[in-house]
Amino acid sequence: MEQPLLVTLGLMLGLMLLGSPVIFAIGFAGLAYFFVKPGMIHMLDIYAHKFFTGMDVFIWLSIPLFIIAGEIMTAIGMTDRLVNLSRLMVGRLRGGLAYVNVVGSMLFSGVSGSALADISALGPVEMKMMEKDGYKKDFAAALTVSSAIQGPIIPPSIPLIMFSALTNTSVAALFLAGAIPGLMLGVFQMTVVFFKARRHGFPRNPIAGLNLQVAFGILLHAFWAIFMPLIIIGGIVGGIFTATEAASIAVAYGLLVGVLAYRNLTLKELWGILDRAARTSASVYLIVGFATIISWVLANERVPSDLQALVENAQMQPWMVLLCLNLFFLINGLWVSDSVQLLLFAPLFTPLLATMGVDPVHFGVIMVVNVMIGLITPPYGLALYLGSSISGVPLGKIVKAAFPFILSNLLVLMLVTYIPAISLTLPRLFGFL
Amino acid sequence: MLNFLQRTADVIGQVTAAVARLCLVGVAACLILQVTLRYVFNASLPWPEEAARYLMIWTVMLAGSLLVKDEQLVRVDFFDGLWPGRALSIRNALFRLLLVGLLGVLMWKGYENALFGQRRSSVTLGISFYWIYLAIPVGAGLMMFHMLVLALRDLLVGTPKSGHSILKAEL
Repeated sequence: MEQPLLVTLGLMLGLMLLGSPVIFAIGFAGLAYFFVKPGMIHMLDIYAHKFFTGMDVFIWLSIPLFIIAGEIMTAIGMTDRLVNLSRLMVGRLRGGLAYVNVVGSMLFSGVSGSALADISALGPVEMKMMEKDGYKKDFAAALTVSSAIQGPIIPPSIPLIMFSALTNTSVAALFLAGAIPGLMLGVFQMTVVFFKARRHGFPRNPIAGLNLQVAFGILLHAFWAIFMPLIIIGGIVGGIFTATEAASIAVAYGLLVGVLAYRNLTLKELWGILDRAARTSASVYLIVGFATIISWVLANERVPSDLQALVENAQMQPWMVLLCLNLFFLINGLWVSDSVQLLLFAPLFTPLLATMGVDPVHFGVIMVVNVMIGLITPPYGLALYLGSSISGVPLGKIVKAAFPFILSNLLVLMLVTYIPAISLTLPRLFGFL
Repeated sequence: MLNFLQRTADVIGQVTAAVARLCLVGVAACLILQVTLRYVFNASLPWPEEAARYLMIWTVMLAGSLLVKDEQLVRVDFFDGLWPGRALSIRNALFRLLLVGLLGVLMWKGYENALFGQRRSSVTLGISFYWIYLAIPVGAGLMMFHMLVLALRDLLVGTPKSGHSILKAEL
């Protein structure tokens, strides 16, 4: 590796480990390149220019809009209605609330796109409910963090939109491809819950006084929350609207439901929502800007073609490369969030794997499943860390309780990685491949 | 002195937050307008998409300065416990000064880009690129100011213990 490149990557990792904000570690590493690489110091305007053009992309606008939509849905109580719906579906079973936790995360996927945001918004509520029902605190926390990672894989999904924008892959194909792997994660987790519930005699959590009328009421209450993701997915897959248009429809929809149907959205709430949404979008966008510079540095140092040569010289089979990447993404989950990994690595590895015969749509799903699971890689995955901070359960105990779920998630990752049909069947059926 | 700076930072923060929210409202309004026109009235305007993109950059640069001010950026802080308290404060101050350098470059080069853009106007909005590119130096300048105030605080009174960065961060 050339020295300027080594300095750039070393600085990025070093600054992160020393405790600099992740965003600025990426930004500073990119800046350092201009000072270390001979002759580049006069081209510093590229730095500010790339930073701007990286952010100035139409499809990124879907991110703030989906964030606003998610905040509105939470504020007007759609999440509570979805929890009730999950209780109606699976509450009666042994281990009722544990299932509710998993099914809830699957249903919330339409409402929110970020696992970490889900954990901080819903985690406290879910954990409190489970604790009241007699579950151990560490189990509740472990289940909450492991189930949260599937939401962003089941469409509509912000990480899949990001991948699509970074690699010029069809959003519709990616959404279809992500559906089965996302559901698989949930089903596998529920299987773990099933065995645990039998062994430990978990309580059931039926809805009191349930009859057809009550059931119908719950369904009706949740109707608007279920209907929204259907419009978005249907519209994008049907080619009726783009991701950004879908996101603006989601915002308009949330506003209309809040004002006309539920009638509980106040201007004051909206003002707060805007503040949070602006800050959250800023933290994503700033990474986008600085990561664009790093991508440019990597291209300038010819890293993509060097990688290609490396893989060819080592005569690596696609499955070996995929296995290495699986591990690489899992380990990176210790330091950085899913979006950072997507921004830095999706443009780098997708073309490489495409030349080896791995379909970009398949790789997109592998990568998103992979970086999401990376959030709960022991010992320090970001989501574990967040779950521990929220619940007050020490990290080690959560890791121990989450172990069976981590295994089940890893099993899904292996299946998704090595059986392309799991991801590619749906897009094929719809004629995208 | 520090008190005065912190109070100034708070006032600047409040103004920035209000403007950032209004810009974000603008983004959403432009895009919702465009979608409504396209699917309900089967027509569309040329400018809302461009306006939304540029307003978003303003939103991000302004809200970004709030992330700096309120220390809402995610850090890898597992190892913070290993640092003695005083050393941690000095480390944080040094980081901040380093980042002031980074933001300085962004501000300086961003402003050069803005001046250069003066000669051109955006395609559909017809406004000078100066106002569009100006978001970068303005945002970087605000971040730099907040960063300097925090660095001064770290050096004078030390970094307050505030728990894990991920809890405060906007994710």
